[in-house]
Amino acid sequence: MGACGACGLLLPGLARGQDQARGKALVDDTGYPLVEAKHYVRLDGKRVRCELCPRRCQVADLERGYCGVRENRGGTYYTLVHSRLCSMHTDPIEKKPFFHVVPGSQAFSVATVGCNMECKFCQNWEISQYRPEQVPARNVSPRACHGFAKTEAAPFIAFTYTEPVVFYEYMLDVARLSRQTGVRSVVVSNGYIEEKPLRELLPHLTAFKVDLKAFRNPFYQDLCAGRLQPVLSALQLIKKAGVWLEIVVLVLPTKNDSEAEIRDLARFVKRNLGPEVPVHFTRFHPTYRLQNLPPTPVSTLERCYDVAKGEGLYFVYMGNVPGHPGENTYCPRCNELLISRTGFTVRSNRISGNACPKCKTEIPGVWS
Amino acid sequence: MGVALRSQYATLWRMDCSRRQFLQTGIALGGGLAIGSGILDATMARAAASAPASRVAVVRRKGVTGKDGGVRADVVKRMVFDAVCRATGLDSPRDAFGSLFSASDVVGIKVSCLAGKRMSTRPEVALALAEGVQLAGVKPFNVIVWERSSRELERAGYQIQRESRDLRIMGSDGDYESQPTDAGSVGGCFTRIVTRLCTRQISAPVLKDHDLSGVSLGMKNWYGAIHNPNKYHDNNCSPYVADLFGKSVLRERVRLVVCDALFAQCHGGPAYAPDFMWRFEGVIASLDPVAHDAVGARIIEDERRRRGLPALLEDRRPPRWLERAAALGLGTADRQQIKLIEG
Repeated sequence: MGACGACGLLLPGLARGQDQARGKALVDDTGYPLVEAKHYVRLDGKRVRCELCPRRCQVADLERGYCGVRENRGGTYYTLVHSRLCSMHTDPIEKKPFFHVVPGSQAFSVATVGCNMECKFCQNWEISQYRPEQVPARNVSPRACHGFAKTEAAPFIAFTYTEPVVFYEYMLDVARLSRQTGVRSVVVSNGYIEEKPLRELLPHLTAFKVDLKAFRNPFYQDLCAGRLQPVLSALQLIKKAGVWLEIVVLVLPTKNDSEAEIRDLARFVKRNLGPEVPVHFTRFHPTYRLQNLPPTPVSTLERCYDVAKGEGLYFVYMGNVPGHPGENTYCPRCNELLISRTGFTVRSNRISGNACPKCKTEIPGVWS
Repeated sequence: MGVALRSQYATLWRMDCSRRQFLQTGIALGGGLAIGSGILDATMARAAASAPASRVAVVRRKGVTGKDGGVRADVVKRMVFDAVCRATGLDSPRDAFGSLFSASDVVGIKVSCLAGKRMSTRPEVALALAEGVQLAGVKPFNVIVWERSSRELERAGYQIQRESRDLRIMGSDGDYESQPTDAGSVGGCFTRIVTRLCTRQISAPVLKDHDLSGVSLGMKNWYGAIHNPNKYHDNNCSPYVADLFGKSVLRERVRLVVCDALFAQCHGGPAYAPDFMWRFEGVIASLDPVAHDAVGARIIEDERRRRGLPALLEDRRPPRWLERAAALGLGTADRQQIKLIEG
């Protein structure tokens, strides 16, 4: 199933909605399952309020929420993207990136359209910022999704590319099947989700990667149409739930790369999540509505790396700089090279069991 | 700024006059975006002061609508022509439409069809506009009645004619520019019907309430021209409605607003809400989109007051984007600058 790494390969259609796990077996007039949304309340005048993400959209009849994929029809709120996959592709799990989750394994990666933010630097805006009817898609039931993962010999299904929170019902239905099929579920998200739905989802997940866009609220407001605090709350909840957590920070020159901000971020992680949580500083390339910035200088990433390490984080990485030593995993105690990487390729993995072969320090992660 | 706008809006909408007074004496938009108010800078204020009055025509005909929801097409056509003549200040429909369009134009008529047959731009109105445009020498197949999707058009009673040698009727159906255009706070991909196919546009909305933007009229209608309208409903759609319309591809090409006000809805929008619908039996036309929307909003406010519904401001959804639009120089909401012409 090779294809575009950004948007994934579209596979032939499957039987629609055959194992839809919840909601009435309705079919939209576009031929896709129409599933009642979770986590919303009905208001007067056929209005609803979505309680899935911190935006808490109040949505009038016939209107959609900010995400563009959830619609009010006569006072009932529906997801329009259950089983409606616009992207499917098998990726190295390092691409998500997860650096502490079975290195070298494959993740069958899926997405629907839609996002509950609008980051001006979104690399996948051609699917994240569109509506379901505007993007070709295939009808893939949750069980069929697991079937594809098995066919691909992928031990993981990754909800990724766009924002999985907005296809929550599908993600939950797929993740719930993990125990049956043995294909585990991992999420790549902005972490912009309310506590209740997150608590419902977490028991079914193996790992969660959060894009922490910045550590300043104005950045979230101005460049992402979101807020910082709910993301910080979600990070803490994920960590408390015992789901493996990694954090990615896309470093934008002059926007979120000050030493003070990186230091604050690292201190937050250490104090509230633990020094063992990996933090990836990745390189920005101009795209979408932010074309007036240069790519992030490698020296900036190195500075972020040094600041975070200096604050006591054990596992700090650099991303989108193939071949840089900052892609490797080192033992936080003896500094032994444990995992050598070039881009998404694992060149060597010396972790023995779950420990450093030299000093026997336990290395946190999901190693098998 | 938020506080200032709120107080200004309160001033703007607290004018207490009846609809009869409003229609007889001119615009009841009080306060205006006053010069020296802090919103308009000095340059804009001077421009506003020297600009000719914005004409808004409200043409009403009793009996044009039936109790069954139908309309008399022949009367609708005369109303549309009459309204455009009054809006342009010209006597004949040929001159009126000819002052706005030329034979080489490709003219889009953007209708509003979200709410199905009962609360969408009637085909009779769109067809009358199409006929009027042809009076200017525009060839039939260079007139395009369009909406965001063909499905919405069909639900509103239109028959899709995408390849017709006669009038074309079609949805944008996902045919957007490949790159977003930034317009103030808005960044979206425009439909290529706007950017490539048409040289001129007419906004043909309906007169209705909107749960977030307060009212959905001539400028809000252009949410149907971008791929991501869902991103621009925060803060009662302000400043997004104005910022979107301020984009040159719209601002410079939209020549006319003609609102289907045969039936109107004062609450429960944008969906069809029969309990709040009334037979206004009117067509509203203007060359000034801001003035048009200001007048339309006032009519809805008056009907809300008549029914004992709270004003939009009290309902926490005032159309503040009107003020933003005026501040951007897209038109006027200043009562001193709006000339209401009844017919």
